[in-house]
Amino acid sequence: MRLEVDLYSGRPNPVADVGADVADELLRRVAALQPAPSSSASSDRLGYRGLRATAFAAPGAPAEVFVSDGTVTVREAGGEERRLADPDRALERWLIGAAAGDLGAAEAAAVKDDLGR
Amino acid sequence: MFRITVDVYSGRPNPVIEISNDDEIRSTLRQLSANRSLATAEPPAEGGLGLRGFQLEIMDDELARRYDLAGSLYIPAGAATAEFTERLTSLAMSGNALAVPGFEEQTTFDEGLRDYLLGQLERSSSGTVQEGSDKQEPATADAVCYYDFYAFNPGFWNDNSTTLWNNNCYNYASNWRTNTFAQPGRGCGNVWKAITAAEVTRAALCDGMHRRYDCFPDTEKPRNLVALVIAPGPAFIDYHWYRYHQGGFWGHKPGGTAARNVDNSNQTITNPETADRGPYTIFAGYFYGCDSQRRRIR
Repeated sequence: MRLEVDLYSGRPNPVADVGADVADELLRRVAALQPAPSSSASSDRLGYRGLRATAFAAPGAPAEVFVSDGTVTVREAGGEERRLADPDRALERWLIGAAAGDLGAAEAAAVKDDLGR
Repeated sequence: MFRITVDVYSGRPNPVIEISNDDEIRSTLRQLSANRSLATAEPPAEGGLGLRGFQLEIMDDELARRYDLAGSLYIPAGAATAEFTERLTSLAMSGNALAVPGFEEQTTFDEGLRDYLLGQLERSSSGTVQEGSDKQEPATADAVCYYDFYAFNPGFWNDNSTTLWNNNCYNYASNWRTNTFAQPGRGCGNVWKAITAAEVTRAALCDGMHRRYDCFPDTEKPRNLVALVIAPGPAFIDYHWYRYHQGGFWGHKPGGTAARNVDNSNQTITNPETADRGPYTIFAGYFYGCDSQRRRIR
């Protein structure tokens, strides 16, 4: 699985290859989430915006999972999207923790700093 | 400037021709704007072998806005578009073919290809293109210099996913879509070495920007007024650019996200020095972009 930290404006975002164990656990956790309220906020801003997971190896897996500020957007291979709730940003915290070893220390720290607010 | 990709080959890369003659560009876009049914947003799925059509890419959002056209358009070959595609074929002959790495000798646009394309196109009776004066956007003066500003046109950057994802704040500030996530200094061969105000400034000046009040002549229009800010870290280190727009506000494009004119507090940006910039806490100064600078960025 490819994990992009949607972080920078000028520089390219950091990207890491994450193991299948993390990918499988992410999909398992996403499957347990409930739909998000329709009023969930946009993540567009300067600074950390979210974690984008793509290139899942599992058959039937989504094309993209974007975890951001309490909302998880799942885009299926066919293009359809659904938005799920991530209460207390628990999935986001777990994912950055699980992938921290694959990311640069500075990038992981920047995300954890945002999650700590 | 715009680019024409002749959608003709199957195995070889299609020829891509850069058109920089302003009179030809205006005339062509005016004709297209008046005959919108000629264009489609995407190439048809059922392309076939041989000449299929022409992809037009407009390189700056002001030009697209002026003629109310999308940044990327496709003109399918056929009887209904014969007159216009014949014009594009002739125009392509006058432009500069861009080299495709590894295929330099195979992607030229020469008389042989032109004659082939003209032979493929069905002729129709010629029409008259109405010529009119192009309205110039007003320039405004500071103490010494003139710079140029244009209407906010976020759709140019946001409506196509390739454009959205592959162009960043430096592309937006330069008003030049490269689809390369352009980096200051890369175009001049000396990309930034560290993200500090001094080093990103050096790299942008190397690309051809000027510090504010270091004037550009009229021949360098559009001379955009832009602003550079820095996120100094320690954890979050990056740079970011804004561009001034008609209406007295600033636009920007955070990385691969949508272009907008609001800050992190969702307030219209009237002053980049005081806007909510999140971690970009250092204001590094104002600069002028210019035509040669934007053409140089990579």
